[in-house]
Amino acid sequence: MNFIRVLQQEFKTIFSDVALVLTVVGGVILYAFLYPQPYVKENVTNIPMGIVTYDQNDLTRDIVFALDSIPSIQKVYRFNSVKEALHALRNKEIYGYLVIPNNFKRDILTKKRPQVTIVIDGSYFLIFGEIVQASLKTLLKQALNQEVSILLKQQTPLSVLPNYIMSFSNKTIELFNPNNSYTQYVLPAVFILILQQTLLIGLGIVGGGVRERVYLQYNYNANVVYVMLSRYIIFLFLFSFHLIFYLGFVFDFFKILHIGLLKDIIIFGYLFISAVIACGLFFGSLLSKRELATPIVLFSSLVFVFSAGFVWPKEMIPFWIIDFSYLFPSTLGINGFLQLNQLGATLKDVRFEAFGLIIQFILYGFLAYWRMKDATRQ
Amino acid sequence: MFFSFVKQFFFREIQEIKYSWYKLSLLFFIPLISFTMIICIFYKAIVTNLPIVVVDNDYSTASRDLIFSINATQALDVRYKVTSVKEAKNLLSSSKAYAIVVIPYAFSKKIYRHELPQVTLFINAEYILIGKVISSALSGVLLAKNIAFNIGAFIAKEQNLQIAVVDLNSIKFSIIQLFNENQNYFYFLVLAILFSMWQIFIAVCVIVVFGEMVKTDQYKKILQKFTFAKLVGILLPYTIVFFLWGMLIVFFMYGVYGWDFNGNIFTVIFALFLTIIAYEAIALLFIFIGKDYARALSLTAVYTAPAFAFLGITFPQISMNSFASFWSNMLPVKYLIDVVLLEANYAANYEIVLQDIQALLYFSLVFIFSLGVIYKRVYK
Repeated sequence: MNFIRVLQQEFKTIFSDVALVLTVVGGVILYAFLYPQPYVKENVTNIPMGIVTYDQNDLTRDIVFALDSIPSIQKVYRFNSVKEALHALRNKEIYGYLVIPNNFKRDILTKKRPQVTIVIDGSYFLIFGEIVQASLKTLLKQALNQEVSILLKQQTPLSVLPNYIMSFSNKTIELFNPNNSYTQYVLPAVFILILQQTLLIGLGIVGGGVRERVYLQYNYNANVVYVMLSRYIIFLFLFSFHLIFYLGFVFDFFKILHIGLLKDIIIFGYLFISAVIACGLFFGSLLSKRELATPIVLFSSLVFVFSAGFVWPKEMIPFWIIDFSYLFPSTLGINGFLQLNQLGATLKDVRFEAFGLIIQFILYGFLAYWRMKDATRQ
Repeated sequence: MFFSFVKQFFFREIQEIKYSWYKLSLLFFIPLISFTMIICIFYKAIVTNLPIVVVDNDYSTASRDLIFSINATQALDVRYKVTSVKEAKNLLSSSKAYAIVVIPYAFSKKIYRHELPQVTLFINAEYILIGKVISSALSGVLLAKNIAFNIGAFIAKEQNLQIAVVDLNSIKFSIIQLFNENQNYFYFLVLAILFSMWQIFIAVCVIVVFGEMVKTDQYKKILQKFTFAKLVGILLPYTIVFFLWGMLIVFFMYGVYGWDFNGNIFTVIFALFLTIIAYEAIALLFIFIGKDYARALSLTAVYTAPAFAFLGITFPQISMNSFASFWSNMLPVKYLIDVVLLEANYAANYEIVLQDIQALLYFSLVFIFSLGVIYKRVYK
């Protein structure tokens, strides 16, 4: 069989295997819209919280009003006692509450440092962060207003005012994800993983299917190099299209910023897909039947996600797990694409990842060849 | 008669498992390795020593003091000191550091002159979790330093100490975090991840067991007569093993790792059992409706793989859109985790726990529907 014949055979086999097509075409498109769904609202909003205030005056009313108008807080419920508020917390009617003590305003004005208690349900950490931030900001701002008014009453010259409170100021600039958008945080990395997993499943199904001899009208003695090259070309073409779909259309659809240079993305993307294909060819050559592909890849997904270092920092992950993850394209690919597309790096900055992928491509390529050659000899 | 068939097929399946490396892996090795890896990843539960870079344009005692204080914070590690913001930004872009602290020229001088110098922080907000940890750590240090410098400045100028101690914190704050002190991310994430993996294993196991039967068209012969008893028998080893795995996860989190468990363990046991039945029922549906082994696996993948994101642990369900909320409600494991957290944290919160158990009961009733489909296929 000449190369063109082999290419045709592979093409026919791959695209007439329903389970395969379902995964590498249907799955890719479906996951593009399914995975982002929990995060589509981008920020944590709609948090109900409570307030118990034993002091009733304009200051406490201002505090409630200010809290209520914070976008992430859905509504501030007033309770007459801590017992009631705690009960509501336990019933998940609120996720946290503030307790403002008696004589709050008076104590601020006389510098007695009243104590405010913030009670929060710590089970959901994003909510915790939001309530703390909202409460602290509101209370400090209101207290500051009171404080400034004291100083004004003491006839402190206005020009000196700020310096009585701070010695230096600090300005925080949040780079790369200024709105703390969760889609921006999670999706760029997860999409790269989805591409790897679906590609591995696809090559696993066809590789396993061939070893199982489940395909009819298939020449099982075709030249191994031709077969590998054919699958490489087919999947490279298909997944280049998928990559552009994800990094172009889907990113824009979910309003994910991407600042990578097109040529860097294309080159790195090519290296990544090639490495995954080589890995997939080897993976397929190990499977004794095609139904092993989906489960094995499925099981590895969560481990790959959390060992990549974008959710949990790589500085906290044991070195042997990180080294293990370098055996597979996903960690290198995820980190490379994140740096290029989200953090404004150039190809030069990601050379470690790029070289890693090239090495994987060569290594897995040889291993796949050795396995597949072995199989045809039998 | 019923129980003899259950027993017969139970031992038959045990034999099948004994001689299948694949099934043994699915039941024991793969869960063991996966769970262990996840636990190891999050083992150092509290985030420490995140690398940051400092651009010190002042080189004064004050600036060095500030840098020292920042470095002394548990969460932060001043790993790089560079001379330009451009260099610093490159470190951020290549993920070598997560934040930049820029101390301006004449920082020290301006403090003593009350001219309010500005320290600029650039934080990589792409990694939200890391960004938040750095943000709060830096805020804490800077606030403390702010007051310290202020007092120092006034003392140096022999000003009235009373006026000097006007600190920003005119209010004392007491933040009480119920149910998870120390903001230990291990607790949040690991419980959810372990159970997310667990439900994938259950569903896949069922597909594998019946997939082979369907693929070789043996299922009609095998499941003929006393179908229900045979199904129970075949599924029993898997039900038992995954129940034990579920108990092991709970025991690990609350026994070995020491989180507080204030509730009723029997509720959790009941919920575990119902969840397993639910996933077995759904998997049976997948395999027997389409009668295609590989396609059932793909369906299972779509249903079980994304589950973690929809659980509402990282991104809360109250903030999801309606479709995501709906999908979340279609995942039995979500109710299981809810029951576990509720029982551990709140204790005696029967109304909500009851609602979750009710949902799980409905899901396990899907088993009846699955049985219907199986009967139709076997006796057609």
